[in-house]
Amino acid sequence: MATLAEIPHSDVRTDLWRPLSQFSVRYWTLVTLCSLTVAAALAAWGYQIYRGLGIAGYNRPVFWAFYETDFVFWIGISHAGTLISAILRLAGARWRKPVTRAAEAITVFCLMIGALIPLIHLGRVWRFYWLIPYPNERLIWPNFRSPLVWDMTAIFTYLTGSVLYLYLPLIPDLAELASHSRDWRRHLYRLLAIGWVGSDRQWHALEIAMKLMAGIVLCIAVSVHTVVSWDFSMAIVPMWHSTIFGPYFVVGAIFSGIAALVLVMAGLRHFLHLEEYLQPLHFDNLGKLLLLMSLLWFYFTMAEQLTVWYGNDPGEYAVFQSRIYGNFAPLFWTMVFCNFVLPFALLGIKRLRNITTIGICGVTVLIGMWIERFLIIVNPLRQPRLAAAWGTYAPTWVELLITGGTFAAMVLLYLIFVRIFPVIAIWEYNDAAHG
Amino acid sequence: MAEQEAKNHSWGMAIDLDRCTGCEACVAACHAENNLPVSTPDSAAKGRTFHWIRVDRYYEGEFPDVKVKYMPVLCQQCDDAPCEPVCPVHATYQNAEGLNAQVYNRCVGTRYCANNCPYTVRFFNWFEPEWPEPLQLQHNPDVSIRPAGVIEKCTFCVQRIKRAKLDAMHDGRPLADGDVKPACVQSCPAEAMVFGDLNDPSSKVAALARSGRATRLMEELGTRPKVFYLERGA
Amino acid sequence: MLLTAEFVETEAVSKAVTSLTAEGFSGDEIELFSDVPVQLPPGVLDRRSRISLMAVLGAVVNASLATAFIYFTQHNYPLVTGGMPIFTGWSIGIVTGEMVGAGAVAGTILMLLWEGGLLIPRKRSGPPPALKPGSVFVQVSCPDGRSVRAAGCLTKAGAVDIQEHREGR
Repeated sequence: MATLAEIPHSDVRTDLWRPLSQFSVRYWTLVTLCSLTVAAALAAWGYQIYRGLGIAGYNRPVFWAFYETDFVFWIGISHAGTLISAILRLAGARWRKPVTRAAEAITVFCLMIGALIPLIHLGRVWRFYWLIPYPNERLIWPNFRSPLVWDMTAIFTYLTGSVLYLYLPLIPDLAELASHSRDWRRHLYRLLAIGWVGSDRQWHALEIAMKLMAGIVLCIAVSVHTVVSWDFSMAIVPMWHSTIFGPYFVVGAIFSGIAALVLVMAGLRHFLHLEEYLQPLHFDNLGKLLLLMSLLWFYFTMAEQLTVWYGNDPGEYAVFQSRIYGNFAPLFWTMVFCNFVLPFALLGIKRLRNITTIGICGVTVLIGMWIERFLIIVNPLRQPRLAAAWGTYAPTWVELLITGGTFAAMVLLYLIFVRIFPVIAIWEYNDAAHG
Repeated sequence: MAEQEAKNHSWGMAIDLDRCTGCEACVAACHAENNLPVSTPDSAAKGRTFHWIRVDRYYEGEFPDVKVKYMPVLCQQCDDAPCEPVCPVHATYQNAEGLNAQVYNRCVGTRYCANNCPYTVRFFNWFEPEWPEPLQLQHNPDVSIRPAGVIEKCTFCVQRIKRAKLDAMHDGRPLADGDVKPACVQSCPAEAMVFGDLNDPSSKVAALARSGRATRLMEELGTRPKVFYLERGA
Repeated sequence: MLLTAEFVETEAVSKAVTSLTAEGFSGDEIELFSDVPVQLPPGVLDRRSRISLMAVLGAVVNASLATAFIYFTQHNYPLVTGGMPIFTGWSIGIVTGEMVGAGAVAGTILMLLWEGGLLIPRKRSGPPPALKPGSVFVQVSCPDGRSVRAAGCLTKAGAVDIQEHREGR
C-alpha cells in the first residue's frame, strides 16, 4: 500500500496516541448522554424485577419478544470481529490491519451486552444461577438438553475467546504505552502488559498464538450463532422449526457485524481524525463485503420464504401470509428494502459507493437486521398452530428503554475504550507498512 | 419415551365433543379449584388471561346456517412432551404416572416451554397474583399460589389424585375407576368429560380411548397426548 | 557479560545472528528485542514452539473432561424425567463442541504465557533494552572471554551502537 509507508513511525505513534489524551466537550457530552440512558435502562430493569415481567409487553402466546430480539441482535453484531480478524487474517488480506482492533472491540462489547440480556428476560432473575452446574444439597441440576444451556456454554466460550483475542495483539502496544505514559494509566498499562519486552521468543509465540486463535475463534463464532439460532429451530413452532436457521443466522450475524463495523469506523475516522489510517480503500473493501453479505442474506431469506410458500403447510403458511401481505408486511418489506434493495443499489453501483453511502447502508442494515430478528421471533409466536390461541404484541416503555439502553451501553463502552487503548494496533500497522 | 409400567397409573381424559355445550362450567370450576388469578377484560385485552382449561370455538358455514363446535383444550399431559427437553432447569418433567409435572419452585421463567407447547396451554405469571376481595378467602388450601415469574398449567388436579389415593390407602382398598374426578370433569353438566387410568383396560376412559370415535389433538406432531376427543364419524 | 547491539536494518540483524552462531553461540544465548516482529530468513534463529500442540491437547482434554462431567453428574443426581433420556450424544455433543473451542483457547493462551515468559517472568541475565521504533536490539549473553569475538561479529554486521552490561548488577 503506497500511502501507508509514507507515514513515519513517530507520526503514527503521535496520531494514534493523541485520542488517549485529548478529550473534547463533545466527547464528555456524549459520554454523559449515554451514561444517563444506561442508568435509566438499569432503573427500568430494576423496576421490572420489582414489579414483574408484566410491565413489559409480553403476553400469551408471544412469550418472547423485544429482549430476545435484542439478544440475538447483539450476539449477531459480535461477528464483526470474527470476520475481520479471523476470516480476513486467514485469507491474508493485509488491508484489514488498521481495522482489526476496532472490530475485535465491537465483538467483545456486543458479547458483553448480549450475555446480559438473557438475565433481563428471566421471570425470576435472582435464580439465574440454577442454570450453572454447581454442587448442591438439593438434588438439582441444569438440563443439558436445553438449547438455552447450550447458549450459555457457547457464549461463555466465545466471550472468553474474544476477550483474549482482543487482548493478545494489544500486549505489545500496552508495553509501549506503559513506558511512555505519565498519568494513572501507566499502572494499568504496565499491569496489562504482563512483562512484555519485545523479545523474538515472545513475538514468535505471540504470532503463533494469534494465528491459532484466529482459527479457533472463527470456529467458535460460527458455532455460537448456530447454537443461538437453535434456540428457535429446535422448537416446533411453525416457521421456527427450520433447518436453514443455523447458516441463516451466521450469515445474518456477519452481515450486521460488518454494518456495525462500517459505522464504528466512520465514527472513529471522523471524531479521532484518523483519515490517513482509515482510508477510502478500507471502506470500499468493507462496502464490497457488505454487498456480498447482503446478497447471501437475500439468498437465504428467499430460500426460506419460497419453500414455506410452496410447501403450503397450514401452520407455516399462516405465518408466511401475515409476513408477506398481512399485519407484519410493512415490517417485512421495510426489512427487505433496508437489507437488500438499498445496499444493492448503493454498494453495487460503483459510482454510488463512497464513505457516506456505505455509512448509510450500515445504518439501514442494522435497522433491517433488528427487524429481521424481531420478525423471526414475534411473527411465528403470534400465530401458533391453534388459531384460537392467536394473539397480538406491542412493546411498552420498559422494553423500548432497555433496548435503547443496550445501544447506549455499546456506545459508552466504545467511547471509554478508545480513550484508554489505541484503536489501531500500532505494531501491526507499522509491520504492515514496512514489511 | 418409556411406556408406563402396568402397575403404574397413566392418567388420561376423554372429552366427548358431541356432548359439549360450550357452557364453560369446567373453566369456572378449574379457576375455583386451582387458585387461578382472576382474568379481567383488561387482562384479556392484553392477552394475559389464565384459563388452564379453555373452550375454543370453531364456526362453520355462513349465517343463517352457522354451526359452532366447542373444544375444551387443556394440558394434554403428552407422553412425548415438547415442553420438557427445552427447560434449562428441569422444571417440567413427566412423573411416573404419566403426568407432565410443573415444579413451580424450580422455574426461573425463561418461558421456552410455553413457546414450544403446540397447544399453547402454558401460562406465565406476569405479576404477583391478586384477587379482589373477598375472593382470596375462597382459595383451595391443597393448591399452592404461584409467585410472579413462574409458569403454570393444568395438572389434571393432581391434588385430587393424591387425595383419592390417600383415601384409598387409608381405607385399604385399591383405587377404583371414577374415584378421581378433576374439577372440570366433576362440574360438566353434560357429563362430556371422563377421567381415569388409561393403563386399566376396564376403566371407562380406556374404553372410550379405544373407541372408533376417539382422536387426539395434533397427534401428528408426535407429542402422544393423553386427552382423547370423541366425535361423530371421526 | 551481556552485550546489547542496536541495528536499524533487518539484513544486518540477520548477518549478525548468522555470524554469532558461526562463532559458536547457541540460540539460547542470543535474543532479539524489537517493537515489531523481525522476519529473519528461515534457519537463522529458529525457535521451537509447542503452542499448536498445547492447543490441540487442551481441546481434547477439556472436551473429554466436560463430557465426562456432564455424563457422571447427570447420572448421579437422581433426576426424574419419566423416560426423557438424561444424556444423549447429539445434544451433549454441542456442549462438547464448545468445550473443544474453550480448551483450545485455554491451551493456546497458557502455552503463550509460558513460552513468552509473560505473567510469570522468566529469569533474565540482564535488563531488556528499551524499545525504539525502527531499531532491533541483539542481546548476546557471553562469558567474559568471548565478549570480544561477539562484539566483533556485531560491529562487522553493522551495529549502530553496542552496550555492555555486567551480569548481576
